[in-house]
Amino acid sequence: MDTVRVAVVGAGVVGLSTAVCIAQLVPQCSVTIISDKFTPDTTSDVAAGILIPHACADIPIAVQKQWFRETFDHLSSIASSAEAVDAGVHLLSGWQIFRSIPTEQVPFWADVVLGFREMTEAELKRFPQYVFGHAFTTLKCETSVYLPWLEKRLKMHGGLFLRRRVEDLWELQPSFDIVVNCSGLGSRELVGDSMVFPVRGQILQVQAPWVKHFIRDGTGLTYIYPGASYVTLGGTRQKGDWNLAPDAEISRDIFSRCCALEPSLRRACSMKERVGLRPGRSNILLQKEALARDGRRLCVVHHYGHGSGGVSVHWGCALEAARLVNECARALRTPALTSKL
Amino acid sequence: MLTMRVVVIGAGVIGLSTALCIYERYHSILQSLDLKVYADRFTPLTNTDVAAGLWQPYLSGPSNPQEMAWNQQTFDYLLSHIYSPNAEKMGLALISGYNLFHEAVPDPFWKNIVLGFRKLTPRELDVFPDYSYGWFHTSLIIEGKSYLEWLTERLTERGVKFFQRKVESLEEVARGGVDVIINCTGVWAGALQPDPLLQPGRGQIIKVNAPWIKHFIVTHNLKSGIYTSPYIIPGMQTVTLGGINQLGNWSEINSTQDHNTIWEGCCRLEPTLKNARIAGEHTGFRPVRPQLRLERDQLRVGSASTEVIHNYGHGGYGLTIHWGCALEAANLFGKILEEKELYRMPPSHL
Repeated sequence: MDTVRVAVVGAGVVGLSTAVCIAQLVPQCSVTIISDKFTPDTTSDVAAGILIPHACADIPIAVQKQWFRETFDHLSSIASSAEAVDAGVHLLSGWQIFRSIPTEQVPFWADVVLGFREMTEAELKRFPQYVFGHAFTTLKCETSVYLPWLEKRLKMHGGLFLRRRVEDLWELQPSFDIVVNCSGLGSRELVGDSMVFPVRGQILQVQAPWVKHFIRDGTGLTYIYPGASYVTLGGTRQKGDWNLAPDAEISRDIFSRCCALEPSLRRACSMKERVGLRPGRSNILLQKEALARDGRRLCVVHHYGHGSGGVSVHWGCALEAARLVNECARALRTPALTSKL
Repeated sequence: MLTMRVVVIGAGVIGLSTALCIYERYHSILQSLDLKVYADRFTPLTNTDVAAGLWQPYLSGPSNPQEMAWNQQTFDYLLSHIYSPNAEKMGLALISGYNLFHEAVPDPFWKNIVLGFRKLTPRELDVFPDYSYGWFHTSLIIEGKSYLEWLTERLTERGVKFFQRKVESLEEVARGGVDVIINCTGVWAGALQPDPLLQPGRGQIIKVNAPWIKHFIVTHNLKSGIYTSPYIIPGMQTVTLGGINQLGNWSEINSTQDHNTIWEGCCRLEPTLKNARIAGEHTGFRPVRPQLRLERDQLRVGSASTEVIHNYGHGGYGLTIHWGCALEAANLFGKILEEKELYRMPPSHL
């Protein structure tokens, strides 16, 4: 059996986890990651990495829940192992609070996280402008640690790395048999998908080791996510904004909103500003495409458009992407079916 | 009698909080309050400094029902400071976590004092394969060292003077011309007045750097007793690992055997600890007593009589109960003033 040569374009959390899944699940394949940016310069590196899913409009809830559950279970077993620190995964408890009672009082993912319940009145007292809330324990996946860990795992499986900006998927043919497009926001140019747009997020990373819980406003616009090395304060959701430079006014606003929820943050020090452009899209694109041009053929698996929810569903999606790659690989290996591609 | 001369013996959490409470309540009422603190050990060398600082009373109800109220008063007092700008300087933070057991146990008497108390779900218990039952709740950390520094600053601001001296007897202090002695000598109280009910509960702890640990994990072995099973308690900067409680052991030296017991027990509970760097190791003595001693006493020195308020024997729950006890000690102090006709207690205090 010939080795199937797989190229994964993009080295954020989606690209790396997809590459690892492919290397583990697809028999007789070689995996090469090709990207112009690697950690710590990817969009994923800016994300706080808290596991709280964002509902996608066009994907069935059952599928979203499965992706989230698979990601949660996968990271959960890492969190309880001695590898947890190297992978940057740890348990985190906290509260999601609402200024008015939400229509959906129990979100679809409530039984995936741990110990989900409504907040008590005593707990809500510290948030005077809020009337309802959820308390639960979830996982934090610190991308600046997780991504290097994934790179190591990929190397252990024989994965190769290429730093290069891909302008056109056809550049990768005939060197590769299957291309997995995990280029996130880059898909807008790479494959001409005008449905992809940036959702600019600005965050602050501060030192406040006494903060042991996450606090998230139900709208998702204001949040406090403590990690192992710093606390992430956020944020913004600016659609169509490509500006990667931090805005001082926005930083002041984020800090003020977060201090309103957690006054002790006023003593926080050592503030860093970061900006990431989320790969916005009405829904995640995770599907095969058989490209053909001038008698050449290229098997593509698209895997991009995760918006704000990439980390929360990455492993479940990566498993699905690997299954699609496996289907492509099997089809390539069956001579009778080659013409059907 | 125009000046009330008061000496607090002991500069741990009990001594300093009692001093502050008495000062706050009576200094403006009395013409003159001369308040001094005598101690041979100050922070960071007190037993309070060794404590992890997790607010949590014992599992079983206290033999003295007043202690329940004192625990509640302390929690409420600390919680009210959580949202103040002082919180970090006081060493105060909210913290959630796990209490783990090998069998089902009744809910603790303090379940409605802490926040969000509930039992652990089966999936949560999967994280801790050695345990089959447990609780989850949100409590407070009050770090001994920071809190003592904060209390010392508050007292110094108010003109309270500190004296480093080893008190050999209550009489010695009384002869110095003192109206009220507040005995907060903790585990060392037996040296001032024999107390067969008081004994040391020796504890040893390891401090590590493990900032990824955000929850406390306290395990219980009902057969061997409180604090003899591994516990992991994050603080502001480091994580405290423990699980030693040796009654009657006065050894101040860190024991290698105890180090290994703590390390193995905690690493088994939380495998990520193998990555943690050790930042320090300490031994302290819990002042263990069937119930804490908080009562008045009179000391006869010649023809004179000196008032004494004893406030010691808080076991492993000193930080947990300190403020309620300080308030009660202040009440007893008020009664002394009433008797000396220096002060009339407002009816609500009776």
